[in-house]
Amino acid sequence: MKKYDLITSIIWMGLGITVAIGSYRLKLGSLGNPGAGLMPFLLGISLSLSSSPILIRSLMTKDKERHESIWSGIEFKKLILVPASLIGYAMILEKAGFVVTTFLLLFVLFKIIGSRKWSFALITSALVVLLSYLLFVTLLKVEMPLGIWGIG
Amino acid sequence: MDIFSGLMSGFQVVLQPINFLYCFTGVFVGTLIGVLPGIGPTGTMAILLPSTFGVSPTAGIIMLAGIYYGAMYGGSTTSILVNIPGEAASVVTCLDGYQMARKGRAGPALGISAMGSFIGGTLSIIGLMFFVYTLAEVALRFGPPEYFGVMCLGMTTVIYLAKGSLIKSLVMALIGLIMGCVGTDAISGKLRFTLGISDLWDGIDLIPLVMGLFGVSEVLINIEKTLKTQRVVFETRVKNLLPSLEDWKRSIGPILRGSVIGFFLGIIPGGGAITSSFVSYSVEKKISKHPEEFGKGAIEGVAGPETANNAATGGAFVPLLALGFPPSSVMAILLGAFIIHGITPGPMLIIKNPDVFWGTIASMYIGNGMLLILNLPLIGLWVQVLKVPYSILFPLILLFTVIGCYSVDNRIFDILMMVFFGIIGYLFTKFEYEPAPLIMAFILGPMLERSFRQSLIMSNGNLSIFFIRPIAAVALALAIALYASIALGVFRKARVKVTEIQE
Repeated sequence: MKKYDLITSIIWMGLGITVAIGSYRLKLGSLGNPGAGLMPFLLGISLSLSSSPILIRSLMTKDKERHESIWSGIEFKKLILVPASLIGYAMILEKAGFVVTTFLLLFVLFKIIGSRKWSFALITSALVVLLSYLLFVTLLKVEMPLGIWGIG
Repeated sequence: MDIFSGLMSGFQVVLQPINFLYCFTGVFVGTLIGVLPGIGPTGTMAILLPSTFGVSPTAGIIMLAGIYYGAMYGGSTTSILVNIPGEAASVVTCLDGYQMARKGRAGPALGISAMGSFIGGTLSIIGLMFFVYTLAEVALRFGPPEYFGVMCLGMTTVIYLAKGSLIKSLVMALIGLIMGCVGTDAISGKLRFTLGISDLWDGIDLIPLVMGLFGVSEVLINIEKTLKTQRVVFETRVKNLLPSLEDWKRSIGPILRGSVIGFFLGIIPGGGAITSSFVSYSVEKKISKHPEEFGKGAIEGVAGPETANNAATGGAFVPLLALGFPPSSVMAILLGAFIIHGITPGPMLIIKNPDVFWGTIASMYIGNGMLLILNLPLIGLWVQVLKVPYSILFPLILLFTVIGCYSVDNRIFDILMMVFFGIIGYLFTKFEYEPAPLIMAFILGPMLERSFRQSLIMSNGNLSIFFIRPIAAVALALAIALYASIALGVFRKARVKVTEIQE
């Protein structure tokens, strides 16, 4: 963990200092009349102070035996595809509408990440789109975008 | 209103068809996600929070509460039949529950966990009623300094009891507090840390944050390695669900002790269902006449922890309903739900919204009864659910999060926030940072800041206001003592490490 503790603690320290500087600009006020910046200023200072033990500990300890990396055996393709497909969903949802976008999302998730067969992914995606439309739009009256084709 | 007539009015509320339906939906969904590993009550409650906007606050709260205690029932099924905890609070149940199943005693194991859960659940609701009532009376006299003190103490215990490194939990809590500052400052009207994004003027929204940290990140953790297409479910037919007289004789002690342990640990901020199940298990093992049977299928090792984790759900409601303080991340979401519905939990809740208060409590009696039926005669249904592979499950989870997140405000920005926090949450888990303190601090942040600034205005800037008022002083002193012991602990750990290197 040592290497990662070093990185994260430096990030927290930087974040704490940034927040403190930002809060100082927001005006701290006085104790009798605390301003908008007082609380975040104290929090920023506390954050950079309390991340210092993590930093010190990671500098002082040596990893004795080689640990298995936390990234070993990880399929990065999937790890990137899931957030990417969700962002893609967000990007085209209001243009293409609920039905089309949801179908595409589900198909990508079932086929590529879930490694299912083509036929299975197609049928299941279509089925889930239908059921989710009935559940959310028809039953729960959630307003989802119609998109340029007017379906959804 | 006294407790009895209050409870009676509560039952009238729950028996209205819409509330009854939402109670059933809650416990049903709770059992479902309890049975399914890879999705927990925190994420589910966040996902379903938007779907409660259209109904009355009472119905919404009843459903969300049902998800929480329902998940505790469902979690044991997976532990016993598959040796994988369906829920974090059912980890210990794997030890003896699975062994019982291997010996062909899956039936009694499932039976006693449902019975124990029912007994623990109902006993803790009785405790909950009395404690909330008394505590709320005291809390009515709280001013800003008292609230500040109690919230500080609560946050400190959360950090203290969080799993993993204490200092990392502290860092998480501080980040949560800072994130709570984002948006328009309630007192001065200034914009803080909005980074020029107008969607952040109202602050970071709770729903995308929780869905990201507990929904999306859980999916990422589960899919990072190759998916197994099928889980191995223990395929013996589950029969004889009713425990024998001998089973009952051995279990009644653990069940009663588990109820007490669970209830009180549930009240403590940061304690909760997981801790109480572990404590119950070790207590039972310690006082047992035959501790060697533990781990080899001792029914006590199932009855105690399963009762305790259910009793803890009742206890957890005490600080939330009496003080407006959430003792766990699940309760923080429930607090968020209260706030979204325009209700402030706390001492005034019983007076101002008696229907919500008593309705919720009465719904827990009804819900526990429903769960007993759902989990005993209908156990076969959940065994089938267990066979659903994760490669089918996770697209559905993601779809629900996206729709839920978008439907709150019809904002694309919320989906992007959710994905962002999903990635952050995944990295937190990889680098061993626990997200629970962050969520709780995030919810408490604005309240903490308000009480802090109001106290200072009250005292004209004199910090002694926190130390001359007895309740505030005691709470803050305890918090400081806990921090001191954290500091010493860190020092000690560092020292041990140094000596290790020198050797």
